[in-house]
Amino acid sequence: MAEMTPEQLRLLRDVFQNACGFVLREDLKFIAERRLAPRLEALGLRDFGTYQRYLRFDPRAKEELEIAIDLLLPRETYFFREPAQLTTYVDEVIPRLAQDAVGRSLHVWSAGCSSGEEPYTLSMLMGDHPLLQGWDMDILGTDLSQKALSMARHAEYGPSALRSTTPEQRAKFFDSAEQGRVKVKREFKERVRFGWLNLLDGGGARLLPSMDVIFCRNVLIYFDTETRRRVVQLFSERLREGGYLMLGHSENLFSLTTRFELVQLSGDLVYRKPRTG
Amino acid sequence: MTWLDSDPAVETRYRTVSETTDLAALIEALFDESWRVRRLAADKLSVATTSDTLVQALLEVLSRRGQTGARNAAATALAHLGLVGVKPLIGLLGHTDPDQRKFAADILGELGRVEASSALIAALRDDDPNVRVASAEALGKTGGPDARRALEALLAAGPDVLIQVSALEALTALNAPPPLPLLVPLLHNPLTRRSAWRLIGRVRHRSAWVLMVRALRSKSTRDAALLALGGSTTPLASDVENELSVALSGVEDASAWLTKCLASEDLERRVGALHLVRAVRLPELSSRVAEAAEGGALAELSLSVLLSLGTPALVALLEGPSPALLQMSREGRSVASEAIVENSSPRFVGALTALLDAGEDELGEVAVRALGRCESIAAIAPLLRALDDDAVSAAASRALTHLAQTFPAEVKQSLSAKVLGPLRPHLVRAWANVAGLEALPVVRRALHDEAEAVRAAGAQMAMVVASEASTLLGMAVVDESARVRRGAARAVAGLGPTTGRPLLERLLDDREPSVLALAAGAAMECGAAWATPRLIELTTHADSGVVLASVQALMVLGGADDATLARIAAHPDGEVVKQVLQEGASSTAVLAQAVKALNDPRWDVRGAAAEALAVGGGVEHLAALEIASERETDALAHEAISRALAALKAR
Ligand SMILES: C[S@@+](CC[C@H](N)C(=O)[O-])C[C@H]1O[C@@H](n2cnc3c(N)ncnc32)[C@H](O)[C@@H]1O
Repeated sequence: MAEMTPEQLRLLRDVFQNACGFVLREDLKFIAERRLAPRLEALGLRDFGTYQRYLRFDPRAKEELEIAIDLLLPRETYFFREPAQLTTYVDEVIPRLAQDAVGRSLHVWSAGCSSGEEPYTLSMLMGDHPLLQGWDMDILGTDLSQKALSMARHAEYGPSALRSTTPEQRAKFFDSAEQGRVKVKREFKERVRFGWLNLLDGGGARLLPSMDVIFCRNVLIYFDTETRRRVVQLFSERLREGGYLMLGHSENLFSLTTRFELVQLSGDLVYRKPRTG
Repeated sequence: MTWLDSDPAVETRYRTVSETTDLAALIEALFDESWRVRRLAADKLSVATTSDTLVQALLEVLSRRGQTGARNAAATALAHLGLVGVKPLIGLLGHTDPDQRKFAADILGELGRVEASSALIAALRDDDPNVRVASAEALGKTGGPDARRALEALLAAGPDVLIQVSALEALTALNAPPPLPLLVPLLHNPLTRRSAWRLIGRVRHRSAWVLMVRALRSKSTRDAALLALGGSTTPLASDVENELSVALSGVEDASAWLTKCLASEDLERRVGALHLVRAVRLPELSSRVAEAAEGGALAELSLSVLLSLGTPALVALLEGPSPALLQMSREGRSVASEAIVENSSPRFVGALTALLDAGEDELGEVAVRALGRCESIAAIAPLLRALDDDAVSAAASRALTHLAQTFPAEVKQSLSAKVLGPLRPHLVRAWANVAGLEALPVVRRALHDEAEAVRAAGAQMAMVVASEASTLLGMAVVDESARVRRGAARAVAGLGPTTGRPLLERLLDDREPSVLALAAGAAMECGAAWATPRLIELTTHADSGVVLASVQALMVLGGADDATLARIAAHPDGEVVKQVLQEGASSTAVLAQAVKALNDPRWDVRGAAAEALAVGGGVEHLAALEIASERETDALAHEAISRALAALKAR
């Protein structure tokens, strides 16, 4: 198996960082070698230096870059992840949103939704919420990975996606499928849409509607500061005034320059786009 | 409610600080209310030319109680000053305010200079407990024999547990385990035992192992004792493994306990558990072992432990109604997959076939690769089916070729039926590889196929029928599809520089850059010296890929004069420049460009320039390298420059 020299690692890091913000850290070298080895074999390339050049110069470079990104980026996700934050969302954020929404409609964006567990979780929590009965809810999941998106659209999951799902939730929101797998019930699947979007592509994101809430959890952690700043800026553009940004529990906006206010709710701290005037 | 940065006023102040070099202004900026502005000022101060005034000014900021932000920023700046900071900070250790003394100890630790050790040792007797703890921790970074002795003395000192823990951590940081009699009593105190066990792991003597083995047997001590194994990922010696294995064999719930430890958030604990699993050989834990790689950092160790568990462990990953492999994280899968592919055996065929049918592309590919290496006739049928599945057909074609090394007749026979039907690119490749000369009719048919992918595969495989290759490739070279011409360009080198010349000439005139680049590569591969004039022309092509391939070919074939090399070495694309620097260091024109390239904005180009000078340069290049070394901010480029300096000085 080919080994990555420090220089090759750095050059590949630059390639991925430019393409999608992902930082290939040194301690991930061994695993990256393993994940990319089948690509070297398939393309008949002898080492990672040649692979790096392939990613720049070959006519199929773009396609290959997508494959490589798909292989390297962590896509770990599951239903009802970070329950404490979800409780805050249900008990404290939704009532606030319901109060000042225009018409009875809400737009929610799960940015970096991976295989769909997060947007479906939101659909389940919101569809079930007493304050939102009869509301028009549009939940959008976007991701860079086409593989993840096709799994999301399929909406069928194995046991590891349910590691944080209670038996009651399982009974209420899922139908059984073959071999111990489950499928998201139709009513919760219907209002979730999916789209292919690189968060570094500001132009693409500007086509999205103005959002009431953006969930972007466990995505920014893989980016460098500059990329985080860019992406957070984009979120602030896409949120309506008074809209909320929900990050993963170990993530925060300190030292990122975008204007958000930190709101202390009883269950958690959340970010909100301030109102002007 | 907190407002996060980025009001325009902050931005203005940030810009002002980034442009100034005035010390007073920078010191003033340490008091800024914005974290970013303070941080920038501290960074700039730490690289400013140091002077007593600067140090005094920073110490003054440090003394402002209530100004937490400014004090931290001043501490950061002081911690980067190097040796000049040591003396004044030692002075600060004598301040009347304990808070100042603690700050001084912390920063001396950050500086990590052994010159500070004796002052810090004295501070271990400070009246204030916080100062004593900070000094002990700092000694773990400054080091030296006196520091060790002083830290060891603290272990014996008695009831102050906090200082004992700091001393243990400091000795761990110095990788300097104290005498065992000092450590043993601390293994029993719940507050000191984690740190103490970590140090036990650093003692290279049987007596330490004996202690650990004993502790692993007992429920109440084993969690802490495991940390003694968690400090290093290097495999344990086999006699140690044997003892550990004996120790754990009497423990009833060892398997459940290790399962828990392998999934721990604490990486040291996971490492310890991996070592133990290898020692005890519990193949049923194989999926947990693979999953210990989750996150990526422990993948290497996890793979080696998994391999040590042998075939039964791999079977456990693959078999059952819902195989463990399907439930794993991506890192766990990678580790498990590599182990399975590397150690594939006839026993796996059934499970691998089921895995292939589970419909997950990534695991399907693993199954195909493993089937190719399992050395079983039974693998042929599933691999033939896999040839029809776009997601895995490329891998299946390679796997069949591999399997044909063991079962040539059987693989050929199964494929011969299939090539009578519609052709697909990877079927053509597999057939050509397996059938050799007999593949001619199929290759010919492929070159007339309606699908360009099939024609391209036909072109690429034309060389297996060497006698006909010229004619076959002749058709491909005039194909309207660039993909097919690329297939021809990949194969044409096999004809050699003379027979291949007419075809190669045409390909070197193609209008598609991707074809040109491959043709240049072919010229290099077959040693077509006649092509140099055309290759020199191609170095001015607008497409960097074409230029790069042409330069590669020229460097191997020779024939480019100094003027040409100098021109290429100034190309706007960094990859092109690196190519010339990496292969042209024997040319003085290239070396002259290398000196200029030491100023290139790209770190990799600067590194390549230094490497070229290291082998081709002389003393006349020392000055340029010295300047580059001082200015270099990139670690890898800096290493290359230092190596070049050392090489030239030695000359
Ligand atoms: C670890 S998953 C998190 C999934 C989910 N939000 C959660 O918290 O469970 C991160 C996802 O971010 C996606 N991602 C990473 N970089 C991205 C980018 N530049 N644009 C869009 N998606 C990206 C990855 O493909 C991956 O699916």
